This record gives sequence, C-alpha cells and structure tokens, in this order.
Amino acid sequence: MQSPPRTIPIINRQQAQAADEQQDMIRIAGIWKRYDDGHYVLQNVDLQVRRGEFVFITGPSGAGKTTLLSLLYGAEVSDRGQVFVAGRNITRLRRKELSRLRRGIGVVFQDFKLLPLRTVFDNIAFCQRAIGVPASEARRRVYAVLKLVRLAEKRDLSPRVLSGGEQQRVAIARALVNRPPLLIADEPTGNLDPDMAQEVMDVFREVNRLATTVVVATHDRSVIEYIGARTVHLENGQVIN
Amino acid sequence: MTRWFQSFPYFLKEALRDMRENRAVAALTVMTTTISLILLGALWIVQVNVSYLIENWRERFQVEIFFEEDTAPAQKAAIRALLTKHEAVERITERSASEALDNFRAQLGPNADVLDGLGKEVLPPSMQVILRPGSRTTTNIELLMSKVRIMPGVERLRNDLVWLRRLEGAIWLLHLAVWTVSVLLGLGVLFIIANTIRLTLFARRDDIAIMHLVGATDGFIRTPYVTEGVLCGALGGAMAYAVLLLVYHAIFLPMLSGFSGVDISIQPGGWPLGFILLGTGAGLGFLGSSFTVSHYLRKQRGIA
Repeated sequence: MQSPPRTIPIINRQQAQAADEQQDMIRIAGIWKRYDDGHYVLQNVDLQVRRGEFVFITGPSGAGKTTLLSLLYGAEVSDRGQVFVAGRNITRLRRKELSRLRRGIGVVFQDFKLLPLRTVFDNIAFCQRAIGVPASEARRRVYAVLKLVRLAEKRDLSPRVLSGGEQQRVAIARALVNRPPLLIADEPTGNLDPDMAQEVMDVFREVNRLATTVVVATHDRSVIEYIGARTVHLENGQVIN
Repeated sequence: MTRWFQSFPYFLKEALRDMRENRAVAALTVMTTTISLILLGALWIVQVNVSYLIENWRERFQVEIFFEEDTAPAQKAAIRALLTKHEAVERITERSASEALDNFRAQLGPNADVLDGLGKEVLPPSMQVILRPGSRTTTNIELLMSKVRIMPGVERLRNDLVWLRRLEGAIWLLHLAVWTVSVLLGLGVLFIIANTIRLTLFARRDDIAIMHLVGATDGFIRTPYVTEGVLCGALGGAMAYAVLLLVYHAIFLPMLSGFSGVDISIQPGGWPLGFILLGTGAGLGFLGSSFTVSHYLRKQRGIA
C-alpha cells in the first residue's frame, strides 16, 4: 500500500477557474481517504469528468466507488487532495454553500432512501419544498418528472407497495426533479432485473442527452456495454485506467 | 425573509403532521406543559392577590401623633407646617380630645356605656398623617417620625411600622419563592419539550438526512421542529389559562359569594395572565426545540 505524499497537489483559484472554463464538471486531484480503522479506501485518486459526459465508475465491491461518489456531494470529506464540482472546491465550502451546491446534484442511492410514510408524489415534492420551491411550482415539476420515469399513475401509492424497479425509478425522479446539471448514481441497477436495468439506463441516457453530466458507479458489465460510455476502473482505492 | 414567510405554511404543515403522527408524545408534552403552567399561573395569581391585599392595607396606613395636654395651638401649627412641607405627606387630619372620645365610643358600639362617667379630656388630642401611595415605605415613615418626634408638644407617635417591616420581608420572601418555583417549573417544561423534539428528530432522521442531501439549509430543516416546540408550548399555555379561568369562575366565585358581609375579593389575573402563560409556553417551546435541533444538526454535520 502506498503512503500519502508529504506534498499535496493544490489546485489554485486560477487553475480552478481554468478547469471551469474547460467545462470540467468534476475534477478530483490527489484524493486520499482513510477510515477510522486506518484502512485507506481511496489512494491518490485523480479524476476528470467533463460537462455533459456520461462516465461509469467500475470495480469490485470495496474498491472505493461509493466513497468516491460520496466525496462528490460532500457526504464524506477527504483526508488529502481536492474535489472540484462545477468549478467549486467542495472541500472548502461552508455548510450553507455546500447545501446550495447540492441543489445542483441529483443523487440516486443503491438502497433508494425513500420515505415509507410518504406517497411517491410526496417523496419527490418533499425534496422540492425542502429547498424552498413554492408548492404550485413543486407540484408542476413533480408531475413532469413522474411522467419521465413513467410513474405518474402511481403517485399516490406508498413506496412500500412498489416493486424494486419502481422504487428505483422514484429515487431517480427525486434526483432529477431539481433539474441538476450533475446526476450521481450508486449501483442504480443493483436490485433490478436486466429489462428494468435497461429501462433505468434509458432514463439516464435521456437526461444525459439533455446536457446533464451522469456519473454511475456499477459493477454490472451489461449496463456499461449497453450505454458504451467512458469507464473509470477502481481497484483497492486506486484508479487503474 | 420573504422566502421564509412563503414557506411558513409548509413549516406549519410539517409541524402539525409530526404532532399528529406522534400524537401520544405530543399530547403528553402539552399536558405536562399545561400542568406546569397552571402551577406557574396559580403562583402568579397568589402573588398578584397578596400584593393587592398589601396595597389595600398600605392605603389605610397612617401615622398618628398624640399631643401633650398643654400643647399650644402654635406648636400644633408648627408641626402641621413641617408635615405639609414633606413630599411624602398626602393629607393631615386633626382630632380633639372630645372627638377622640366620640370616635372610641362609636367603636365600642353597645358597650360604649363603659366610658360613662369619664371626663371629656380622657383621651389625648391627635393628628393623623396620611402618606402618598408611592411613599408608604418604612424609610419614608422613619424619616418623618424622627423629625416629628423631637418637636415640642408631641407626647408620642403611633404607627404600624413593625408590621410594615414584617410585611415587606414577607413580600420579598414571596417574590423569591415565586421566582424560584417559576424558574424550576420553566426548566421542567424546557426539558420536556426538548425531549419531545428529540423523539421527533429520531423518528424523522431519514427525512432529515435526505433533506441535507438535496440541499436544504439547516435553517429550513430546523424551522418545522422549532414550530412544533412553539405550538406545544403555546397550546400548554392556552390550556393552563383556560383551566385557571374555569377554576376561578366555577369554584372561587361561587365560594366567595357564600361569605356574605366579608370583604374578600380575588383577582383572577385577567388578560395579562393569559398573555404571560401563552408567551411563556411559546418561549419555552422555542428555546427547548431550538437547542435540541441545533444540537442534533451539529452532530449530523459529520454524517451528511
């Protein structure tokens, strides 16, 4: 295992601006992340994703895919290195600034993270209201996104009565409702059958066609082949290619 | 701020939804707050009534100056002039020896015949000094008496200074007791509301985590829970006021009307008490919930 370097690669403001100008949606430089048990889950990871790009992060379980994605929306903080999202250094953002940045990032979790006591509609509308979108506008946006994932007719049901695929589509709708420029999905097809997985990928391809940058962590070779996008392979916390 | 007002219906809806879903805990909190605020309100009423009684008693407080038998009118005039100049004095009345006897006779009523055979000059002539309402303090009275006592023609002075001193001590103790108990009760309400909000936050931890991830600010996440705390407190305050009013009208008023011929009146506290209870409840709810939510969000900072 490598040790972290004494000097940290620093991207200064000019370089960050330059990165923004070059249309980088994500720029990760020399990221190290260690968990409490001393194990390095990410080691000196560099990554660049351009605006509007579709990128797969692949690798076996425990390779560091989920941690890498968590760094992108600030749920985890790196020990060393810097993470720029949409030209902003996420490691230096204050709490309020991070909240604002997150409004431009849609996240789809492997375990959906839906609220069982709220209806499908409320699960999505709730996220709109949480960022202060007025009720009427939130309603309009939720209907539109439910149509996109073909769940408009199930809007009044509880997520508990939906199939795994439908729950995943609700999670995708929730991630898309803010019309984010960046969509991050962690194993979005992990619980789906091949047909449903293709359907989900079609939705991702569609939003990517509408200029949203999509980053998907998966170890499902079939969806990678289906989309045919750039792949970044992680192994033992390091980028292999 | 405009955005906050626009979002207020959402905050209120979420707070009411939380209260409905955790109705047992919310009801228990409102009931406990109500009981605590009833005690607080009752103490306040006791304090108001004791103060009212004392003020009534102070109204009747006077200093009486008894003259020697041979006090000359000029000496009396000098004393009157001294008293009139004093800013604490409201008015002065004089009573001759025969007036004093008549007064005493009237007080004795049917037993006045015990005074038969006594001379008209048996009681000394006197002067009654009534003090202004704001000046009926021990300090003022002592000062006035020290000046009058040395005047020629004064035999002795009579007043209720000892009682007034005791009463002032009792009032101070009463205030101390009321404030101590109020602070303790307030802390109790604070703790109960904080605990209720903690339970709500625990039940809503997934919602909060998702709100963080979609970019809700801490202020936006905090407000529905603070609103819930304020609602519980205010509801407790309103119910406490309603109970106190009910007790006053249903129990005290009929009871007092039974005491015919006795001059007793109880002040119910009125609207000020209502506002105090409502404000105290809402204020304690705000403090308890704000503290708990802020603490929770600080702890969550490392998680999401």
